[in-house]
Amino acid sequence: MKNTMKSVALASVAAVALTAGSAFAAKPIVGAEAAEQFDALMATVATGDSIWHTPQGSNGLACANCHPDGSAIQPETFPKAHRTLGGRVVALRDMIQWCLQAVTAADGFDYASDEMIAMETYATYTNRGAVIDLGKDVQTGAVPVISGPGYPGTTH
Amino acid sequence: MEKISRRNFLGVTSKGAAASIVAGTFAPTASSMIGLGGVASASSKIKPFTFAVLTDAHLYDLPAHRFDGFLEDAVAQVNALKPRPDLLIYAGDVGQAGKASELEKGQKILSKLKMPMLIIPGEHDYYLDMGADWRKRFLPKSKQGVEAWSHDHNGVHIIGMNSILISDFWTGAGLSDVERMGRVEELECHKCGLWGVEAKQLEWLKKDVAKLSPDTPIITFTHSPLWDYYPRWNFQTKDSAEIRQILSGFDKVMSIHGHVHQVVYNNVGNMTSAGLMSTSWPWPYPPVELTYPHIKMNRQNPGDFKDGMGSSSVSIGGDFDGTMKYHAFSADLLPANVAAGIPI
Ligand code: HEC
Ligand SMILES: [Fe+2]
Ligand SMILES: [Fe+2]
Repeated sequence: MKNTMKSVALASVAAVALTAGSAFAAKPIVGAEAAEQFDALMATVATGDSIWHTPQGSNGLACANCHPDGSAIQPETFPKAHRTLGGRVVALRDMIQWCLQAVTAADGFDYASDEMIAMETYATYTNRGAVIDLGKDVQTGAVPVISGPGYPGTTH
Repeated sequence: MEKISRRNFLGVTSKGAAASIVAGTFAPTASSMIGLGGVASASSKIKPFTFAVLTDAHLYDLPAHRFDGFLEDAVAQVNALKPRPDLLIYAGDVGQAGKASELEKGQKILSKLKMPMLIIPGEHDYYLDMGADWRKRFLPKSKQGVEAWSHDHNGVHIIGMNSILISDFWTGAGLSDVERMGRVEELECHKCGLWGVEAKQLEWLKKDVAKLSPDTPIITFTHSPLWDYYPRWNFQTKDSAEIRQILSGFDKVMSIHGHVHQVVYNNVGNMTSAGLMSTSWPWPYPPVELTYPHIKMNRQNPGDFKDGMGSSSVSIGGDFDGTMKYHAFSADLLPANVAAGIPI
């Protein structure tokens, strides 16, 4: 065992960081594969952005009316006990679903649907960088961005 | 000075024409010219009064929409104020998508006001037909050129301007009227750019205040704030620095604005600004530091659709000392210091 580890360590620089069990570690995601994954993420953000800005229910209201740039969503505070949902501990998508149905008078989306994943992705993406802090009592204004024409990163 | 009176107001509404009154509705008399070209009134000549403010109803072209009821409730709120406000200023965004049906609905509800109304446009009233229906409905013929007005009341010079003028982003992009409105409807509109009052109204403002003495009390109304709050959401007016410059010679200027759907307060030079709650939905505070962080509204309960909204009124004292009172629909929205009234 001792000898094996030594020879592995000597075998390559990369192997220095390996422990016995990590022979099964996945390869780092780099290059074209990483780019592909990022593109897939951004495509989902764009889908979420579009759902966010489109009324889903019968009263004309879209999430973006009240949550511009994903503000006041606070994904970093979920899961948490929410008074709106009877004080139960709920996940972000529970609150998204509640808002879809109660606030915008929509049917809501299946939890495993592309639409629900996209909404969750957009809500989280617009609040990227926030420190995970479950139950924290805050109202955040999403990620600050600059104004004006040509603002990059969205499709509309 | 001819006061806008209940009688005048009924005279206009009973004709079935505009339910609103702006300064230009009345034929100027010798005394009503004081504020526009004659001797300026010193602040010692203020006769104390109260005015009310409503804004951002965002009415939809849908039957029995809940925002209709919110605006009706806000109208009832200001009608019930004691003493009754002398006048009401509506600070923009009557409609949501600029449709005639929305503006007509708003006009109908606002006609229940028991005091005369002055009004300025918001972006949601405007970008479907570039303000055509709004002007026809709310502005008298004499005001069709420049969407700015001034009105003297009890010794105070009240100014209203259209602050939501955007440079043409739609022609080059080949957008239809509906598409243009759709873009502007989004607070985070990425293509719209910054808006302002633009050159024509700056010129008008210079002329309007040229003959006033420095101790004339000035109150301005614009849809958007006259300071750079959060340009990303057009919580700004691109030529606000020029406006403040033009008004910098006056002892004191009060600036009251809509668009932000929240209680917010600031002070730049001789200008004190106050932002208003809407009657449709509240907006969270943007991610910037406030100069007066204790003058804010509380977070809202998403389960209470009327939380975060209401009306406001301002009482003006004899020394041009103002107090802004916010009248929230939900009792616990305002912290005690804000509920008590904010000096402005
Ligand atoms: C009419 C206004 C309005 C609309 C439309 C609206 N919301 Fe909300 N929402 C609110 C308010 C107000 C809150 C409470 C904000 C706070 O906690 O300070 C809230 C809270 C939330 C929260 C919980 C945040 C937290 O930390 O508790 C989520 C998640 C949310 N909304 C998602 C949505 C989604 C998704 C949509 C679109 C389907 C939507 N909302 C539409 C007004 C609205
Ligand atoms: Fe508004
Ligand atoms: Fe607005």
